[in-house]
Amino acid sequence: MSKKVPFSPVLGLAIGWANTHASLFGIKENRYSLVDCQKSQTSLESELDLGKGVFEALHKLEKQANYALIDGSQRIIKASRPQGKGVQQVALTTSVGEWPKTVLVGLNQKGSLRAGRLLTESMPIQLLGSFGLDALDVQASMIETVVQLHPELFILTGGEDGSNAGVIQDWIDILRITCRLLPPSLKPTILFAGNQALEPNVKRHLEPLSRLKIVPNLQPVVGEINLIPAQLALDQEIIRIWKKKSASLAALSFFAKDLTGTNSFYMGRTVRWLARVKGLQEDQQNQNGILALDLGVGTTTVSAARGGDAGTMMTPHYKKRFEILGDSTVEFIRQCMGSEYTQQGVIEFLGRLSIIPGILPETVLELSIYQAIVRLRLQQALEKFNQNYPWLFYGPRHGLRGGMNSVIISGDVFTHAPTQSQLMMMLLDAIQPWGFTSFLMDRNQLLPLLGILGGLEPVLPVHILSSEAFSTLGTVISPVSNAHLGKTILSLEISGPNGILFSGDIQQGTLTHIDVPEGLSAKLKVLPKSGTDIGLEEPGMGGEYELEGGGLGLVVDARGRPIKGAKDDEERSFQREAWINALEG
Amino acid sequence: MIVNVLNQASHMTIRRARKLSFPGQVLVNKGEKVSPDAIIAQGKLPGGIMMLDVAKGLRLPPEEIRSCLTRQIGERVQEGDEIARCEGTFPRLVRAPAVGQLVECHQGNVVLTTDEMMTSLKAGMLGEVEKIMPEYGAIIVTWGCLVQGLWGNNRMGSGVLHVLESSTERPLGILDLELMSNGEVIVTGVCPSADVLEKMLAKGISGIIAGVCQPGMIPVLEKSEVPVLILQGFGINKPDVFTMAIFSAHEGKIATIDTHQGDAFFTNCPEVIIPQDKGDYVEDAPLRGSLAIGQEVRIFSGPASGQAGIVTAISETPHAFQSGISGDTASVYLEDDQEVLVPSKNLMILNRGIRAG
Repeated sequence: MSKKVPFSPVLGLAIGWANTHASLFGIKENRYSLVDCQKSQTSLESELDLGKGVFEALHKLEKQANYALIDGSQRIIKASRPQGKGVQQVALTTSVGEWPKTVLVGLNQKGSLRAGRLLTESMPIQLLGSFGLDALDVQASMIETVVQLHPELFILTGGEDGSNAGVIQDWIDILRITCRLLPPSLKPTILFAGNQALEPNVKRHLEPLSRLKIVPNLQPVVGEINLIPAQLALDQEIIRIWKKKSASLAALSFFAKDLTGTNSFYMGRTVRWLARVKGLQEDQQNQNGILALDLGVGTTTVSAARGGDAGTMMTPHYKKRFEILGDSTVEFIRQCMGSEYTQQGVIEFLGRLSIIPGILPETVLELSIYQAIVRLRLQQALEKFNQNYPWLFYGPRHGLRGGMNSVIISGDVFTHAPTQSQLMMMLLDAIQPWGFTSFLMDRNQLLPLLGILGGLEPVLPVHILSSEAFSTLGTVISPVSNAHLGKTILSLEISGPNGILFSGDIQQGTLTHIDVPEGLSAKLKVLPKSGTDIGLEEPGMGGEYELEGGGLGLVVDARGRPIKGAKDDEERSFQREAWINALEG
Repeated sequence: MIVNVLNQASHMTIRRARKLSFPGQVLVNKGEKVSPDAIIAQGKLPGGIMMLDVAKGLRLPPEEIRSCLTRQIGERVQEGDEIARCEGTFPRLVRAPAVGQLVECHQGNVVLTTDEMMTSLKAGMLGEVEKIMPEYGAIIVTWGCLVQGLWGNNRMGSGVLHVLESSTERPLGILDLELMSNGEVIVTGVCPSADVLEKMLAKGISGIIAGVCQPGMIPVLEKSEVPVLILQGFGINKPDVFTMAIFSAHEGKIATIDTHQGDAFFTNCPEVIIPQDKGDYVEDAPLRGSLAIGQEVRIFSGPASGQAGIVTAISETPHAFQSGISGDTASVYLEDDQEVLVPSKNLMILNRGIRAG
């Protein structure tokens, strides 16, 4: 049955290395809603031609939504007012492009260079080198190094506002000489994010020589880091560089006007915004943040926000695809697989995965290896994030001790999982959450699009996020206790409008699944035993909560932290099967 | 469905662009024949930077230095040339310590570049210059055999092809070293072990082309100074007979190897070119292409993994595989008369090339 497209359609395009998603947003009963979303394979033909994949997704979307989006000349129909076809606005986010080569300079490792690295690791840029005060001792060789590296982006930071002017001036001089030495086609874009008192000097010396962007200091005072203005400037610059290298991106971006950006930056923006909204809705005690995980074929992106803290971090795989063939990966897979493991089978599959990173696991064995790699990638990405943002409080030994209200997942790896139980198992094993966590799935890569569209129409993300555009995977309670295996550590009662749905005890070491039907709003009463921590103020504390149905409903992961697998391979396989059965039951 | 493409054929028209990342000088002309080591273009960047502390030399404050320069910024100087002087009771002067160019004066220092960092772009293949890209490079064309592979150690080289059979059961050993000669490119089914490889390098071989390889060899191969190309990937047991037959047919001829590794999205891939006489051959296919019925493909998953076959049907109706994951499918007719249904995205097209017309 065709869907009726309402007033003011907005088209969102999210282009990743593997897939291109086209989403159509409209207004229904005075609220923005997702009319439909379709995806196609990203075309990536010569010179990163993305056009074929985009138009394939648009054609599917036209057909599904029964609404004209493309004219006879293969152009997106723009409508200044509602006319039964076309869109009023296009927004585009992408992660496809060679990461621009970048050099970072600042003062010291723990201060400005640390802030600079947080910035570079949050964006799709390739850091060729970072240089601090010591590099200024050998200015001649520093100039030679930068000329040799000839980066596309040069980030200059350092000096809290009003201090270290002399050192920054030295860097300005080095940059000025470097820019004079480089031929015009190799002059970098300079991003100045340091002591703001030096802005006039920076402009006077560098603006005539190279493209210059000035943004607020990354670290205006010690311990206070603000990356957002610099991220925004870099986002625009990265898109400018990518457009120069991909004519199809330039053409698509023309339709989107100013609403073109990188997936990672706008994913981060939505996460920050969501955490703020949640913080306003809930009391401080329960305000423990949003975590978004996008596991793409080319990159893993982690974005999190809690209270006033926020961060985004990207880990690229697309340049290091043969690294998965290392011994540590194989050992990790052996631990995950138990008795199913055969070295030859694992190595053969890893070999194939290194050649086709977007491979679709065809057999049960391939799936098992693949899901082990997903666990490893998630752990590694969260560990790396935690190194930069220790407030996440994550470690593979203790899990996500800081807790998170919501975890939003995206990427083919997740959306292709054959069952919700398998998906939940991967997430629980890798993340090891504490307390209460809702798991949501962003099947359509909407998170970055909402970030960019929110700048145009702030209510659009509000409406979409509260709609069914994001599917619920389930709510997880992770009680942590020192009790012996099999001891009761928690009692639960779930009641719906028609009475009690579940009432029972939870034992240490178990994994329990309680079905809560889609659309049902239930009351959840949690009574932990003394010493059982469910992420509230102190162990033993419980309470009553609203519980939304859908997906797996409620999962109680009482396996402890860290989750301990049996030592014996066969026993570990039985244990894993029992856990999966518990989630499927 | 768009999938990766590997060109593996005896006769093709092969065009490759050789381009500097910044403007320089093109050293070849249209129509010129080039060898793999021929320099196509050269670009120069300033180097050998020297900061001359003129303020100290003249014993003057840095801000007074500019007015004391006796040569212009941008000017070339010879070793010993006077570059700054101050008059007075005790006149002083500063001379250039080396041949170079004055590029800047700041904070009492004069910056002198004394050298140039040269980037040279090699042809990397035997061929003919078809088109000049002014200031940047050229497009070179050649006709012959093209075999692309899946892994390379980012090196270029050339040599006489010598095929030596090997398998997982019988890899190349010490006795096989006697059969190898200096300057040869050794083609073999299975990548040799680290100790045999070391002895092969000592014999002066100029490249290795292997069908399959164990992943543990990657760090060793990455350090190898000669180009190494792996055709089918890692951990697969059986080398591909068809590709080995192409090499056998060209044994004794000169092959050029470019093992520069592309990224995961196949923007380029390592390859071997064996030039032959000019002919009316089809061009090599782009590295990404649409899957179609009748194409030859290699399978990368499931029980038929590693095997090649012909696509007999393609469907976009999702099919649930044994793993439980659904996806688009292709039916592939294998060499042993079996037909298998596989996920389309796990295929790679093998372009065997045919004579045009």
